[in-house]
Parts: sequence; structure tokens; C-alpha cells
Amino acid sequence: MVNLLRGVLITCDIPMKQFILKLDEDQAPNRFVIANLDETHLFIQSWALKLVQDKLEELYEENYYQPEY
Amino acid sequence: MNGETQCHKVRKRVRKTAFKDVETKSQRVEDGQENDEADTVSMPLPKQALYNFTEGGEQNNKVISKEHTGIPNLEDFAYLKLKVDHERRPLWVCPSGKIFLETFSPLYKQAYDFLVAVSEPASRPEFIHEYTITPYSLYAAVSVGLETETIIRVLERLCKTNLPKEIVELITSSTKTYGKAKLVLHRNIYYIQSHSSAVLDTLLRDPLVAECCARTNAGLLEQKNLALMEGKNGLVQRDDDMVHNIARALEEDELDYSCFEQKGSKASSEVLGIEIIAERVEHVKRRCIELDYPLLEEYDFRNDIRNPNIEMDLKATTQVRPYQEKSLSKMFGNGLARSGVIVLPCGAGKTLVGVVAACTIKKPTLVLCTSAVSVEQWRHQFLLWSTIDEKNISRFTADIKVKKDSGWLGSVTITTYTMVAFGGKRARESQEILEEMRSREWGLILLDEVHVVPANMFRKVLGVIKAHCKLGLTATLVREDERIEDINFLIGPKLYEANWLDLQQSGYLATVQCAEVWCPMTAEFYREYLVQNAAKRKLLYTMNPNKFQTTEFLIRFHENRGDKIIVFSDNIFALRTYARRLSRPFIYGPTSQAERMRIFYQFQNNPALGTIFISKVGDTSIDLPEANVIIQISSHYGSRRQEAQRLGRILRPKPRSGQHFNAYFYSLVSTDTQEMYYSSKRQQFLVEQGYSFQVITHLEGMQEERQNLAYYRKEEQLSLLAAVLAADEKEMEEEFVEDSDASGDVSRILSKDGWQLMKRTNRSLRKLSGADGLVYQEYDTAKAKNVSSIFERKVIHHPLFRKRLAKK
Repeated sequence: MVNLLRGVLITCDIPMKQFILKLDEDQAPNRFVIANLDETHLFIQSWALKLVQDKLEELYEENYYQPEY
Repeated sequence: MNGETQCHKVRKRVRKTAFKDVETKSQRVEDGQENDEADTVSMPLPKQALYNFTEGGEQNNKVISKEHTGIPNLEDFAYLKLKVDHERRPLWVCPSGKIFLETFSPLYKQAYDFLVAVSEPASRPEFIHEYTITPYSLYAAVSVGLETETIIRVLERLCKTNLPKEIVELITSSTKTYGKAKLVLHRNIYYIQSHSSAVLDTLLRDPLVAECCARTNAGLLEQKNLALMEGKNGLVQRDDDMVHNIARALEEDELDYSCFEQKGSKASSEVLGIEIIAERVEHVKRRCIELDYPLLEEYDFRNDIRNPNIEMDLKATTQVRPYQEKSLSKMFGNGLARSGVIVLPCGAGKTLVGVVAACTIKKPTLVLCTSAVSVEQWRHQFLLWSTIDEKNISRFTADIKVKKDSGWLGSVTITTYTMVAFGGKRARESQEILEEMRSREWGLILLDEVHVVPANMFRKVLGVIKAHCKLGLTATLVREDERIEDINFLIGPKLYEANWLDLQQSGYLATVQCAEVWCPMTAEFYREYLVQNAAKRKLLYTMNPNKFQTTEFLIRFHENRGDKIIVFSDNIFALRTYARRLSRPFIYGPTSQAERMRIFYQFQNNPALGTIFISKVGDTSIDLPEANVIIQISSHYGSRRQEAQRLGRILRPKPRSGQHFNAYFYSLVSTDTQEMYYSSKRQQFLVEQGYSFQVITHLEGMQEERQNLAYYRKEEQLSLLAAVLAADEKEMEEEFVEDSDASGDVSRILSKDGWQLMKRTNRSLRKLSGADGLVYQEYDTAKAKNVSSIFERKVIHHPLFRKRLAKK
């Protein structure tokens, strides 16, 4: 029998992968990472995509300086 | 119109409150509670200086809301009508006070000179400059001689649209009172001078000012001989050349020339003055500021008989550059010395400007610096550029106090801010020296690195020291705490600000290639970064192994070219780790003076030593003329001035054939961390000055080199990570640089080699036990009798005796 699981493949750089893994840990009961493929690829569940994108936005806001006009 | 009456009302309301404040303050003064110690009463600011644009605004100014364009605070000035020949004119003047100058316009040069005199430069990249008109900048304009009509007329001529009403209002109201009264010291008597008797009447009507006037003649004195002293120039030297250039450039007809000229000739004949009692000068100055008539201060040093001249001249070999001359001409405009601030980039020769000013005035000079190193540097420069005798320069720092026969102070005294402003207890010698400083009448006080010193320290210093002329020197007039406005009124207006790009193009500053190099974090480091607290995070992104590799790569690259490299790091842990791993010498706080000198000497003269690592101590004025590459691996949170100052370390032109950029500034940042944020913030200042920052995401040739670079292997990286996580609180802190030991006179005995591991004092046991300074102390013996012996006490508190001696 073949088990099928639909998910999303994420390609990213090394620090971002760590970020997503940490996010995964924080989500404790609702973990979304299905497989940790290699240093730059992750396989996660589809519902978690939006969450990851939102958190990334937040990270960017924090780290990028916008000069006031 | 409805709009107009509305703003009229608003302004009236503001005025009323201004007067109320003034009244309550004078009440307090009359109660006799005024303190003579100037440092405890803060210097007020004129009410006009707090002019708020939004209050008097026209109803027409629509503010476009954020939803339309996504940019906050967009204002729509489309209602301003363009003039017919607007293409010939170089300026856009906005009702909010911002001015935009097109540098590609044929009138650029003249307009630029004018704008620098009248407004504050906000941003000066290559094609469009941005300036802001503020009350402060108008104050500065007036003090160099520009009058209300001139300013308005010239702006009108140069502007593409009709000059907005708000601007005209601002200029009129600001310049109405500034520059109308002047404080002059002539033949050892202080006078308040003015062209118009109306102004003097207003001042005299105020009871406080009237109190301070000398009572030799009742009422006003007409000083005809003063008028003769002024000569043809009138109350304030007018910058006629500049105005004429503009008029000529605009090809206006003869009629318009005359409007610029007539004021001057009429004004020269009458100059009225009131004499002021010498001791009350400070009070008068303060009072006039409160009345919105800030006094221009000018020092007539040529006719000052009371203070003897010093034998000091510029050496014949000294070459003064054109921009230095220009800045000095703004200061010595009409033969008198004006107080103010001169802004020149680092490495452009500020010290020379100070030396020339001192040689011109030729009166006792006090130089205040930020650190002991700068003290040495100033002394060196004085000896280098002027003919002053070595014995006449005295230094006063925690380490050095040399007594002369005539007292402690020579004709030129160099010391640090902390030595003068220190409020606590001092050693006896320091106290004596300070007393001498306090009692002396200084001709010139030079304030180095004016932007660094907090405003309160200034107030203290300026309260303690009496000087006729104050000159502030700085490279950057931006401060994170925005207290820069206070300096305007504590020292004086900004006399001159140089344009960094211009200086670069003329070859006085090195052309600098600024780059931000992005270093990605490694997986393990980033993992830890996400979970740790703020302090550890900082350490983590600084100690990023990729950063290590980048640093090593850059060092190798530049050393192969023969460049001299300085690596800056604020964080000591990082500094030590990097330097040790890369086997280069490093300098930080505890490094002894001898060691520092040795390293610098090697750095400058030995081709084998191409790189040194320096901590925050390198930020303060140490002269390192031979470096042309700076790599920054860690820095203080977002401080703009720090970045600008570091750039100053290398901004010394080094002739190198065939290359456009002869200096390099690398700022290494770890991506996806807070460092990115701070880095962009700090670059803002430099970007506004016209430097462009290039972002380098990938260094060519580095990938191949990787295995030869530090921390390539995983095990090494992990052990580094472990070390970082284990670093305790103390090591992680940034270095606290104590510039001079204000807390006591700890003289350091320099060890011959190696670092300074302990401080040795060569004082007596008295000092160690805290008895230094005590001469006589009486003990109240009567009281002592009343203390019962321990055996008789009811309750014994000391645990050691409690059990044994307690009464049952």
C-alpha cells in the first residue's frame, strides 16, 4: 500500500530553514514539518504555508530599517 | 479669507503663553533666588526658535493620506504656480520649509553658497540637494550679515514658484529680532549695541536689563567713537560678494543691484550702545534671549588691552586650504571674532582651523577635547603649525599636571571635558588648577568634537569658564538625542559646513568606496540566535563563522595589494577572538599606552604588518594617517555619528595612481538578524552626505578559498558556538571607554611590555584610606562619652557577641 501525503516543498537558504524549524517547534502540538530533506529543502503541510509567510513578514519588518520620509 | 484669520488667531495664542513664561521667570529672579552658578540655571532658548510650521499653515496644504500612495506624510504642493521662466531657476521652495536644489542648473554654484548660509543641509547627493529653513539657520544667516529683505528677495529670484507665504512669514519673524543687538567688548567695557534706538529702548524697558546697565549716564549713550571703530561696515559685516554674484548671475538690471546696497551705507553712521556692568553680562545675555533678542557675540580681540597678547603665529610653512580659509573668514568676518560652530569632515583639518583661529586671536586659549589621546594630538598640532613655545602649552589631564612658576596654566591649555565638568570631589591639585581656570579670562575656547558632549556638560563647562569667543569644531552635527539645537545657543550659530563630496572632488578627502557585505548565518548559529536573549544575540551575529571567513578573505585580498587595514569591533569578546584567530595585534581599553604606540609604529612603518584590530578606543581622534581600508565587524546600536567618525579615520587622501577609489569601507552584516536593521540606520547619514553604499552579497573568489579560511570545518564552528554560548555577561559587554579618570588621580605605571594588568597608584596611604583632601577634622569628644560600653547595653546587635554577652 502506498501512503500519500500532500504537502508543500520549501526551498530556502540555511538560516531560513532554521527559522522555520524553530517555528515548527513553537507550534508544538500542531507541527507542520513532515520531512527535513537537506540543508536547504523542507517538506511541510499545506495549511502551514500562510503561517510561515506571515512569520517571515514579521521577521523582515524587524530586521529591515525603513527611513522615515 | 477664512483661512488667514484662523491662523492669525492661532499665532496669537502662542504668543500669549510665551509672555506668561517670561513673567513667571522674572518673578523668581526678583525674589532674589537667582543663582550665580550658571551651570545650575539652564540657558533658555528664544521663543521664536520653537516656531511650529503646522500651526500657521494655509488651508490649501492638503496632506495626502497614506492609503493612496503608501508613503506617510506626503504633502501636495501642486497649487503653487510655476513662473514663466521656471526652467532657469534652480530652487523649489516648499511651504513646509524644505528647499530642493537642482545641481545641474547653471545657477547652482551661487545658489549653493546662498543656501548653505541661510539653511541647513539635509541631504546632498549628486543631483538634487535638500535643505531645510529653520529659525536656527536664519539666526546663523543673520549673524553673518544677511538681512531680511535680502534673503527674501534672493529666494524669490531663485525659486521656481512664487515664494510661499509661510516662508516669508518665517523669515520675517525670525530675522526681525535676531541680529539686531550685539554684545561687544570694547576697551574692556561691555556694550550692547544696535542700529536702532527702538531695539535698545525695548531692552531697557525690561527691568532686569536696566538693572545691569552701568549708571554713568542715565539712559542711552551714543557711542560715536564706536561707530568709528566699526568703520564702513556697519553693525554686521554683510556678505556683499555673495549677493552680488547672485544678482549678476541672474542678469538682473541695475535697479535691483541698488536694493541690495543701500542698507549698508545708511547703517554705518549710527551705532548706539548701552554699557553693561561686567559681572552682569551673563544675566543680560540670558535675559535678552528670553526677550527674543538673542545678542550676537563678537569679540574685539585687537583692542582688548586687559588680556595680554600671546606670542603665537602661524609658521610660514603652514598651508591653509581654501575651504579652511572660507570657514575662518566666516568667523572673522569684520575684524571681530564670532562665536559659533564649524563643521568639517573628519580628516579635513579641523585641528588646523582651531590653531589658526588661536593664532589670529592671540589671547589665552583653552582647548577642550574628548580624551587624553586627543590632548596629545592637539598639543602636537599646535607645535607643528604655530610658533608657540613648547613651555607655553600646558596639558591638564588625569595623568599629567605640570606646575609652572606662574601657576598651572600656560597661554594655551589643553584639557578634557570631563576634567572641567566633573562635579564630584577632586584631588587638591585638580582643584587648584580648576580655580585658576575659573578665575582667568579666556580669549578663545576651542571645543573639539562638539557633537559628542552632552548638552548638560556644555552648560556646566560654559558656566565655569569665561571666554570671549567660543569655537566649536565637529565633523557631524547630528546627534541621536537631538540636542543639537541647544548648542546653537550655547556656543553660537553654525558658521560653516563643508560639503563632503566637494572636498572629495577637490582631492582633499579620499574617495571612499563604501560597501556593505552580507554574510549569511550558519545553521547552528542562527538556531541559537532565534532562542537567545538580546545580549547573546548580538554576540552570535558578530561571531558568525561566515563573517570570520569574509573578514579573513578581505584582509588577505587587501594585504596583497599593499593596503593598510584597520578592523573595528565594539565588542571585546569578538575583537579578541578574531584577532587571536587571525594572528593580528589588537588594541582596546586596557592596552597600555606603550603597547599602543608600539603597534601603531609598526603599523605605519613595517610593511609586514598590514592589519590591526581596534575597539571603540579607536573612535576618538587618534591619528592613523596611513590606513586606507576599514572593515567593521561589530558596532554600536545604530549610531550614525559613529559610522561617520570611523569613515573619518581613513579620509585622508593617499595618492595611488590609476585607481578611482583609494579608500574602502566595509561593513560586515549578518543577514536575517537585527544587525541589518542597525546597519541601514547608520548608513543613512552617510547616504545623505552623498556616499553611496554598495551591497555585496557575494565576494568573488571567496568560494574557492573557503577551505583555507578560518572556521571552515564544522567542528571548529561548533566549538566556537560553544565558546560564544559560554561567554559570561561581563565579556559580552561592549567596552566602556573611560576617557579620563575623573574619579580620581590614578596614575598608571606603564609596563614595559605586555598589557596593563593592574593599576598602580603612586600616592600615599592617605589617599588609599580616603583621607586625601582632609586637612583638619575635629572629633566631637563629648558625644563619645555617651556611648555605653558594650557590656552595659541592653540589646547587643552583633551576632558574634550576642550569645556571649547578652544579659540573661
